[in-house]
Amino acid sequence: MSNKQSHRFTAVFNDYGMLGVLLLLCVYFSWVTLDDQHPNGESGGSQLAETITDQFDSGTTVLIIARKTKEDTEFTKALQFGLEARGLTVVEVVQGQPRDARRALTKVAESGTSLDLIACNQATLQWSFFENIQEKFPQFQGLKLLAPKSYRWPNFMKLDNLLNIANQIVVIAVIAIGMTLVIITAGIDLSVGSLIAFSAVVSTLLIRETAGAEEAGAMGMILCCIAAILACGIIGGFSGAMITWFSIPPFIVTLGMMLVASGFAYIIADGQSIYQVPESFNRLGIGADFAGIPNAVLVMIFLYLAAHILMSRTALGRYIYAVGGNKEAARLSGIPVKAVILLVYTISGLLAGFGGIIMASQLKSGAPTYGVMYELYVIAAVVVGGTSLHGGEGRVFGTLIGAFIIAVIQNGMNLTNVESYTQKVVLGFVILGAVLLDNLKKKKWSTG
Amino acid sequence: MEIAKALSHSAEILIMDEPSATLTLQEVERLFEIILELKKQGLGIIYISHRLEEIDQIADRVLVLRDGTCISTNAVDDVDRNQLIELMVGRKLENEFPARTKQLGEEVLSVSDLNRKPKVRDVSFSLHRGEVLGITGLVGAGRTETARLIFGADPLDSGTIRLYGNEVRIRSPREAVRHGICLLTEDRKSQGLVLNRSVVENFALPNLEGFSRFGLLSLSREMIRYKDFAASLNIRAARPGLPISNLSGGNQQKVVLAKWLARDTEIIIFDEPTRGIDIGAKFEIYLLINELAARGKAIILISSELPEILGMSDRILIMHKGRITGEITDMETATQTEIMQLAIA
Repeated sequence: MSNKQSHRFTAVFNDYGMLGVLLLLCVYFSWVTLDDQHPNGESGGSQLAETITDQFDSGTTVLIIARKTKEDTEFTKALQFGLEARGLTVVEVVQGQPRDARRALTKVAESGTSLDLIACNQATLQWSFFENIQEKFPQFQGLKLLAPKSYRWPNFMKLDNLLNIANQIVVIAVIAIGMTLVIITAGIDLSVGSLIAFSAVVSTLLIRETAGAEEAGAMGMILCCIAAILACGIIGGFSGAMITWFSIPPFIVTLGMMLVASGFAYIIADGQSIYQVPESFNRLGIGADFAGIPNAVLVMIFLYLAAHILMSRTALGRYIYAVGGNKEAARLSGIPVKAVILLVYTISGLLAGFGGIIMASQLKSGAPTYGVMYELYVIAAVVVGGTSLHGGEGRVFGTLIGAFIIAVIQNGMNLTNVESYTQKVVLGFVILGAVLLDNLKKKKWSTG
Repeated sequence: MEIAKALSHSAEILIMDEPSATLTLQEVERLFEIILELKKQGLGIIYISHRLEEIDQIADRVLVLRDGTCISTNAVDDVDRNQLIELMVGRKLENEFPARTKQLGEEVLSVSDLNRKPKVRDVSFSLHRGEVLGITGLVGAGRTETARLIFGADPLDSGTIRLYGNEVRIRSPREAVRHGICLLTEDRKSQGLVLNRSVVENFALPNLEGFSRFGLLSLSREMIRYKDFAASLNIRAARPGLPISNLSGGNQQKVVLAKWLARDTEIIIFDEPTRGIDIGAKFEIYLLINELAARGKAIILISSELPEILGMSDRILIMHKGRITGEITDMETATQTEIMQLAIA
C-alpha cells in the first residue's frame, strides 16, 4: 500500500473505527436474536386480508378470533375492513378467551350459516381449542384456520427495539456532549449524575409549587424547566470558577459538587418523589410528533449537530482543543484560557440539567434518586467514542457512537437474557477494551 | 548516561544524534574526551550535529545532508566553515548574517522600571520602528522574563509600559496581542505550539477572528492564508492537516513565525528564534527579521549566541541578574569580549 493510501486508510479508521465496532455489534446482535416474527396489529390484519382474498372467492364466510388486547383490536379491525371491502362476509368478530370462541362457533353452527374460514393471529392460532377443529364441528365442511404468515427477522432490528435503544441512551448522550468538551480541555466533570437529580427535582417542584401542579400549562412547564437548567448551568459555572481561579483539580471540584448537588436535591425534595405534574409533561421524553421519532431523540440529534459545528467550525471550538492540547501555548497565543474553561463547565452543567429534564419527562416525575452512576456511563461513552483523557483530541460524533455502543451492548444482552450482574462485568471490560484499542492504535501509528 | 547504556551492549558503531543539545559547555568537553577515548578503542562513531564548531573539533570526516540526499563527504581538514555552510544551504554565502540598512523611525515602545523580583529589576528601555534591539546575557539573566512581562504572560510588580507614548496596562497575552505585540517563545514545544493539533490549526490559532464570518470559520480562507505563508516562509509540511508534531524543528519554528506574521503585529519579540534549527533555516529567519525591520516593524531579538546578536542587532542591551548592565550602540566596534564582560559584571 502506498504511503498516501495508508494515510487515507488510517484517517478513515480514525474517524470511523468505532462506527465499525458499532455496526459489528448490531450485526452480531441481529444474528443471535434472529427469530420468527408474527405480524399482528394493523399490518398483520391487512396482510392476512390480502392473503385470504387472493386465495378465496368473494362470498366466503369468515370468523375472526383474537384476544382482548389493543394490538389484537387493531388486527381485527384492519382484517375485517380488508375482507369486507372485497366482498367477503365476516360472520362475527370474537375477542376474548377460547370459551368465547367456542360459544361463537356453536352459535354459528346452530344458526345454520356456513363457515369456510377462521382467521386468527399467532397467539390465538396456538389455542389447544383449535386442535382437530374439523372433528369438533363437522357441520362446517372444509373449515380452515389461517393466521398471518410469519417471517424471520432479528428481534434486535425491530423498529420498537431500535426506538427503545434511542430512548434509553438519550439522557446519557445529551450529557455526554458537555462531557466531551470538558474532557477535550483535559478536565472531568463528575457532578453530572447528581445534576440530573437536581434538575429533575427542581423542575417538577417548581411545576408543583408555582405553575399549578397537574393543571400546569405548557408555558409554565417550559419556564420551570428552563429555570432548572439554568440552575444546573450556574452550578457548572461555579465548578469552572473554582477550577480556573483557585487552581483546584477538576476531579476534586466536581466530586465536591457531585455531593453538593445530590444533597440539595434530597433537601429540596424532602427525600420524596414528586409526581404532581400534568399528563403532558412527558411529551418531551415519550411523545413522538415527527415521523415516529421520539421528540427527545430529535432534540438530541439537533444538539449533536450544533456541537459538531461548534467544535469544527468556530473559534471557540478551536480554543477548546488548544486549551486541552497545550494550555500554556494556548494562553501565549492570546486565547482567553480561563473563560474557555469556565464556559465548558457551564455548558456541561446546562446539558446535565437538560438531561435531567428529559429523564423527569420520561418518568413523569422527579426524584433525588435519579442519575446515580450516570456520570460514569457518560464518561464511558465519551472515552469509548475516542476522546483522549489527556485532552486536545476527540469528536462529538465519536461520543454519540460511544453512547450507542454502550446502549446496544446493554440492549443486546437484555434481549439475549444475560443477567444484569453479568452485564456490568461485560460493560466494564468493553470500556477497558475500547481504551486499550485506542492506545494500541495510536502507538502503532506514531512509531510506524 | 545514555552513552554508558549504549556501551554496555559492547557496540562497535555508536550513533549520536545532537548529543550536545542539552549539555553545558563543561559537559560537552567531557563528552568530547569520552569520544576520543572510544575512538582510540576502535569504535566507529557517527556524530550528528548542526553546530559547526563541534564538527571542527571532533570529527575526522564530515558528511553533509540536505533535503534527504547526501551532498558531500570530505575530510574535515579539507573544508572550512564557510564551505560547509554553503554545502548545507545550497547557495553561496557572502556572510552568515545578511546585510541590512538601518532606518530608525518613531518610538513605538518604552518601558520604565519594570520589576518582577527576583528575576527582573528596574528594567527600562525603548524601542523604535524599524529597529532590531538585541538583548543578551547569560542564561537566567532575566531576558525571557522581561519579554514575558511586556507580553502580559506574567504580572508586573511595578513599572510602566508605554505604546506610542501612551501608558497601557497589559494583563494577559490576549491584551498584548490586541495592542499589537507578539512573542515567539524560546521553547516552542511547550509554549509555542499545540503539538497534537494540525499545522493549519496552529497557524490559525491567533488569527481566527480574521477567518470567521457570522461566527463560522471559513476553512478554505484559512487554508488559502496558510498556503500563502507556507510558500513565502518555505514551510515543508506535506499534509498541513496532520499534527504539527510530525514536522522538523525548523519547520515547526516557521509555523510559529507564520502564525504571528499573519497577525501582523507592530512589535515582534523573538526569544532564541534559531535555537535547535539547522543553518539553512537560520539564515531564512535572519532574512525574515531584516525584512520585517525594513517594513517598519519594531523587533526585540533575545539570543545567547553572541555572533547572532552582533550580526543582527542595531543596538544591544546586556542583562545580568535581572538588571540591564550595559548598552552597546556602536555596532561597528562591538566585540564578543565586550559583551561578555558586561554580561558577567
